[in-house]
Amino acid sequence: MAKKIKIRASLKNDVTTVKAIMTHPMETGSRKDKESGELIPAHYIQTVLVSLNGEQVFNADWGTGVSKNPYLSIKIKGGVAGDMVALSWKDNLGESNTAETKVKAK
Amino acid sequence: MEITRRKAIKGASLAALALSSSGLMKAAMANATAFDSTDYNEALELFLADNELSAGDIKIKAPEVAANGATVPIMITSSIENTRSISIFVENNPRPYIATFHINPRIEANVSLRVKMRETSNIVAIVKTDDGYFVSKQSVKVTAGGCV
Repeated sequence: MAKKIKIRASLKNDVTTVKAIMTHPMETGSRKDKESGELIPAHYIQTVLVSLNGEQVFNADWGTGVSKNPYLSIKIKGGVAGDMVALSWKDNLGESNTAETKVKAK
Repeated sequence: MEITRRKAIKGASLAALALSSSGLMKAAMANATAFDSTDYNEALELFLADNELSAGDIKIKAPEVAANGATVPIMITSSIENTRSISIFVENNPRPYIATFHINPRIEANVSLRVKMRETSNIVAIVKTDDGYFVSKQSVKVTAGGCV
């Protein structure tokens, strides 16, 4: 299953705002399959990392309470148009994904 | 809850002395189990690991009424100096501990995300600084619960 990350980074007043939507089911493990009635196993993102030009600047720990297809917005101080921002996540089943984008001046 | 209270007072005085590396380790381990906890008070206790909470200047931007509990947009801004992390709890969720965002001097203490909410509940934001833990709450009324 393709798990995309949509990511944007925009620079305004010396602050780089990073916004991302990660395609992920974020299953809690307590939801039942409607047809079989069996529990759907937990499947959720546990860690999110953000780096600026290859240097990690942010990380987060998540539980199952984050919405499906998680949205995240953070603000990095500084940054220059053209800088590379990368976001990666890792879930409880060991799957991971990374996406990067260039900082655009607003 | 007497033991907890005693532990909390003891922990606070110890924490005031120094943030030992063993304390940090303990906090990290407690964090993993706090995520699995199904009770708000227990999750909070595991998360705080003997530290006390005080009220702080934390803004929670969330809808007063959420029509869809599966995705409730929230924004948290901490105006407390030296904010190290921002954590989010939803009191009445089956697993109340939602997330922790680690803040450093490169990052503004302002994060947005969407959370699941099973029912009407307080959203609790906890900010960790060098001087301790600070808390702020806001109630969100949920009209249709999210599958959590």
